[in-house]
Amino acid sequence: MSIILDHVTYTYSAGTAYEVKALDDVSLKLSDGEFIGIIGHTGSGKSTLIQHLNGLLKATSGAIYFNGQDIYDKDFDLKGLRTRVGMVFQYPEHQLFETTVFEDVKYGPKNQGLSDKEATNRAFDALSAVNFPDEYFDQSPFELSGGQKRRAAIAGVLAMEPDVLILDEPTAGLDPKGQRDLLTLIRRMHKESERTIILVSHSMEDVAEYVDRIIVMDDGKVFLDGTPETVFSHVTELEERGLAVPQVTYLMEELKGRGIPVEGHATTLKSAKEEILRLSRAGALHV
Amino acid sequence: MRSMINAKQLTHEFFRRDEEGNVEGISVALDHVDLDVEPGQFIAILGHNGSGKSTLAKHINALLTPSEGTLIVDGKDVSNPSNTLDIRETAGMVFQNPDNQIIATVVEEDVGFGPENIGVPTEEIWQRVESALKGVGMWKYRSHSPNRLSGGQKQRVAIAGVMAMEPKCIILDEPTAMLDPDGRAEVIRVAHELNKKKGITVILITHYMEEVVGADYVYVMEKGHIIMDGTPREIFSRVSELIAHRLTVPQITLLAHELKKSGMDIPDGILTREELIEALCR
Ligand SMILES: Nc1ncnc2c1ncn2[C@@H]1O[C@H](COP(=O)(O)OP(=O)(O)OP(=O)(O)O)[C@@H](O)[C@H]1O
Ligand SMILES: Nc1ncnc2c1ncn2[C@@H]1O[C@H](COP(=O)(O)OP(=O)(O)OP(=O)(O)O)[C@@H](O)[C@H]1O
Ligand SMILES: [Mg+2]
Ligand SMILES: [Mg+2]
Repeated sequence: MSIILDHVTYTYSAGTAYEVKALDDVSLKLSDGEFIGIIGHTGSGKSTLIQHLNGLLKATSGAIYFNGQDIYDKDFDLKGLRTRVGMVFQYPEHQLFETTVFEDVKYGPKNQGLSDKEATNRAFDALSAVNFPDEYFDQSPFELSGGQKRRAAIAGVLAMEPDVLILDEPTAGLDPKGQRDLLTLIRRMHKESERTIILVSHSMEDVAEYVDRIIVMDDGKVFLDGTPETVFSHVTELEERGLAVPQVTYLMEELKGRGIPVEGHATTLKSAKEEILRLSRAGALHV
Repeated sequence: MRSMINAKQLTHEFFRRDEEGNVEGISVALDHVDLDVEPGQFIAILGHNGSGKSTLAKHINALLTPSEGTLIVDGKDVSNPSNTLDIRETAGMVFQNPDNQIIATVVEEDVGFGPENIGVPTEEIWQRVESALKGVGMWKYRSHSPNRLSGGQKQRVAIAGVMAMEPKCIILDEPTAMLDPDGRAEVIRVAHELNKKKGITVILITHYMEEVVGADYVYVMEKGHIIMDGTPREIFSRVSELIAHRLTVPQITLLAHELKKSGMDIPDGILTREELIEALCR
């Protein structure tokens, strides 16, 4: 499953006084089985970008290829694309509409043509996967706490078992355990199913910890694209663009600034811990 | 000194109804909560999803009233309907999603909307709008369209909208959940500034532990109860306990804790990078 964006530009309200160029000549290749993080300041074009990947938004100019096929070709099955590329939206409350949580999660699989029984099984599995409390299965999705709503929305997409899973800030509003559980679940799905995962996030710590490749958006353009270690070595450039690096990366930079011989670019708690323990054993922490 | 917020055995039950409107079950969202906030304090509230944080916040703003127990906001009982307007003027609320809070098409009109609604004379409205927008550093955007601002800027406009009501207390319910790192830092900085310079009592609800470090006092909720309270340092020293309650500690605190477990001599309750560097390079 590969997705190629070839010089994609997107303008909202083109031709009016409110025209906004939200994507500006973006070219990217997203390969099968990758776990990709997208970061960028608010309004940098992250949500606009991912809505192109399942055909919800149509590029103003440029082309998109899904497994080599031009998705704007009139023979291309766009409706099919939407079930293969599952999307959890940034404001999942807008995604909930059925009378009960359980019916809401069943809706996607039923729409894919599964029997009621299969859809029920899928819904049950998806709700358990996100640890949704079963005493609320029959509750209206509108009478849930913020985090419970988000879990319900995520379950609705998981139940469709898409090939590519796109999550737009899925951990916003979840409690820390919920954030960890969800990211661990996504990581596990990625490892087990080789599914392509795209995670949009404002948490530098989370992308550093979970993804293999980070795409940094800035004013509608791709500013950086690389591993967490490379991307997070650009501290000042990221800060100038409304971003930051993980707290542990700042810490290691500051130790370096004190003349301590820090090696590598730690971006996760684990790598920072190992490097500090190494420095400590070498007696190099006191200068 | 009179409390800004005083809850005694505050309880709130939501009735869950089926399609015919019959009561199917009861969620006890707040379960006999006692809490006391002094004027001018900066308070943080943590807790798992569904622990009752927003329900508590909505009581302080009289959007909900207690099923049992009492809640007094600046001397006024929220259970008494004749106090509702006064209480909403005393305690202003900012929600998670800035887009749902913006009403007008121009920033200054948006900020003026609240005071206008409570009958503030026109001239005074403009004075309040000016000082509120200056207070959050958004004065130069006064004639912009709120839709074209960044998330952090929108959220600052929402805060200005609350400030223009001249509240004694501001409740921020996950105000940074949708913001980039810069916007998040901005909102927290503005909240501290209002607290320090204008003495406004701040109640911050958040799932980002880093944002709690600067608070005077922290309450931790679980299933409608307050299960821990203390200064950030006291609370964040209890790493394993917090993790057991679905929470965590700032990444630096966690790193310090891990290093200590690996045998390094590091004190508990490290909150900032400076403190950790100090402890490491001693
Ligand atoms: N429906 C719309 N109409 C007009 N402009 C829009 C619309 N949606 C987004 N924009 C504008 O397009 C740009 C990119 O927005 P987008 O939502 O893609 O950003 P984002 O990176 O997802 O931001 P955030 O982190 O706040 O979610 C912004 O300038 C935004 O104001
Ligand atoms: N309108 C409502 N009707 C019925 N139950 C509700 C309603 N709003 C909240 N609840 C229930 O009350 C409990 C507390 O919800 P509340 O929104 O206060 O939690 P919270 O701590 O703010 O959670 P979160 O971190 O997810 O925002 C939850 O179990 C929730 O399902
Ligand atoms: Mg977005
Ligand atoms: Mg809440």
